[in-house]
Amino acid sequence: MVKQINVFSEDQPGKLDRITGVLADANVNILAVKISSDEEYGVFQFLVDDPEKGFRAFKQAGITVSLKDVLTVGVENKPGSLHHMLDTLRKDNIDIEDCHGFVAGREKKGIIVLEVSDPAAARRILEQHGYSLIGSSEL
Amino acid sequence: MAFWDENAETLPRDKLEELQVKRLKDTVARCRKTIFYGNRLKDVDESRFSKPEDVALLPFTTKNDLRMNYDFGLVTVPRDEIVRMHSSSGTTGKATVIFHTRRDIETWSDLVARCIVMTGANKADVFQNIISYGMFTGGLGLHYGAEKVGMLTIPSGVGNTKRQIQLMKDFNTTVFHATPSYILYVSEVMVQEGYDPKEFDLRIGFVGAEPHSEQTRQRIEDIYDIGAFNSYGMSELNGPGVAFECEEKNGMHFWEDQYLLEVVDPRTGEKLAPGEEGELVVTTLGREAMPIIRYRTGDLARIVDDGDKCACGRTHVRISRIKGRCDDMLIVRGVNLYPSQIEDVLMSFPEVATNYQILMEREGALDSLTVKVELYPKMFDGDLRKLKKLESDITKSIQEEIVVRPKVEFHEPGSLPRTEGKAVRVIDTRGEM
Ligand SMILES: [Zn+2]
Repeated sequence: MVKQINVFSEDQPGKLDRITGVLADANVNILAVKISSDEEYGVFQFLVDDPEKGFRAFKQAGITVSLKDVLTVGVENKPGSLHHMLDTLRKDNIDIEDCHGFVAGREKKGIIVLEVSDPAAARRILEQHGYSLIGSSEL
Repeated sequence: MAFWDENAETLPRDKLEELQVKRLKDTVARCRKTIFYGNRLKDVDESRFSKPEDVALLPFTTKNDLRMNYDFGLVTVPRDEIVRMHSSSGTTGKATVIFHTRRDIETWSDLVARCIVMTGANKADVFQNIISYGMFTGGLGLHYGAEKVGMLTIPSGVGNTKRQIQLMKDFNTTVFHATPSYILYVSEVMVQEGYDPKEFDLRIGFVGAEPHSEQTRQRIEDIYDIGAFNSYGMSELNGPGVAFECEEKNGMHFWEDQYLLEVVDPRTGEKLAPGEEGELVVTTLGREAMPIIRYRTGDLARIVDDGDKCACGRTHVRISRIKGRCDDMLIVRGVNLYPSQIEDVLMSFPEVATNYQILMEREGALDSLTVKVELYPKMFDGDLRKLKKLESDITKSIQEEIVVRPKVEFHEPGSLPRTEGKAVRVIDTRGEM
């Protein structure tokens, strides 16, 4: 299972800098990032090449962090493909808790990062429907 | 069930009250030696006192009276009989000082020894006194009592947290004395340093010097896997050792043979009905150097049980936790509230850490109340929606408790200011216009 690093941050000038600085210093490469926030605080979600190392680096820096299992699903880079994939999960009563995506590789393949209620079941369903799940080593 | 002074601690109520009346008369007579009380007690005839309630015939003594009588104004013994001076932690105006004779120190230490033994601690324990020494009475007060009991006493004072942890480890500390905010902070440092707070030999904690909630006590007990006991005292009344919890943990036994307790309405000074919450007013019954009559403590509490024998066998009344200081009371949008009410709510949420801050500001014509809390790192799972839900749950719970709707803000662990002694939790900028 691929792991995503989630970081809590107060919304203050310089905070993003400090957070990305931790990963840079630890020599951890960011593959994708999503920032959700309101006026006061937010959560940064990082998909990185070495989540354990990134997680440890944040902990050492005293930053509130958690490591979460996510699914990374390859989808075709064309209209409707994300909708199809999410629909497949919805039909089987899998709750999507969070979702973001990025485009990777020379073939410009879409990669969707999913936090779901039941990762193991979601994985099975997606595989049954022919989706390719991308392992951490391939990212 | 162990006692330090079984006879005094289990004295039947009628005998106890008889003793109170006798000692009250002695105290009034002694106080007359000072100019201040000599004037004030001119019209009092204490020989007619027949019951403890007659104390209400005497005038109150306030903190300001103590200040006005700085330095030796209230001392009733020759100067060379005095062996100790303490000073209150008051930060405004002139300090108040309290003096003790050798016998006063003995009596005080005996009261503290009663408290210690009452919690189940004994001479085989190793006691780390993690609290300020010096003029503050918390340090030396517990220190003398602990030595009297015969515990190995480590006067570690407050601060240098890593060294505190090292001492606990190296000397197998079993009992500590600390403020609630500092001992919770110590547990955070333990975790940072790779320890489990439960892995130490600690079994009993004396927690005092700051009003705190039942939830805070439970949190301390859970984190360390110990029994935590609430302590009450103030320098004007010697210091720690005025009231303390027994193993029943249902209120603090107030040592009535040495202190005559009343609970009054803080506004009118009128005596309240039993069980009603009000200001504690205390008369010392055995102090030689500096007796005080009807001292307005400013502390708010109520009597939990009026003379019913506690299961532990002690006959001295029990008081509730201190809800706050009369002067801690906050008025926000016309509503009276105490910081301890907010703390109670916060401590019932495992997702928040132990440090918090209450901020009151004026926004236009309206007061705003902001409660800043730190997240507990272990409970963070990276879901913004859960944080939002938590924020609204905490807001709702606080509003249910205090009526006013606060704004709840989350902060990173360790980001709110904290002090090693008493925590500064309330900031009021409304006056600064
Ligand atoms: Zn008891």
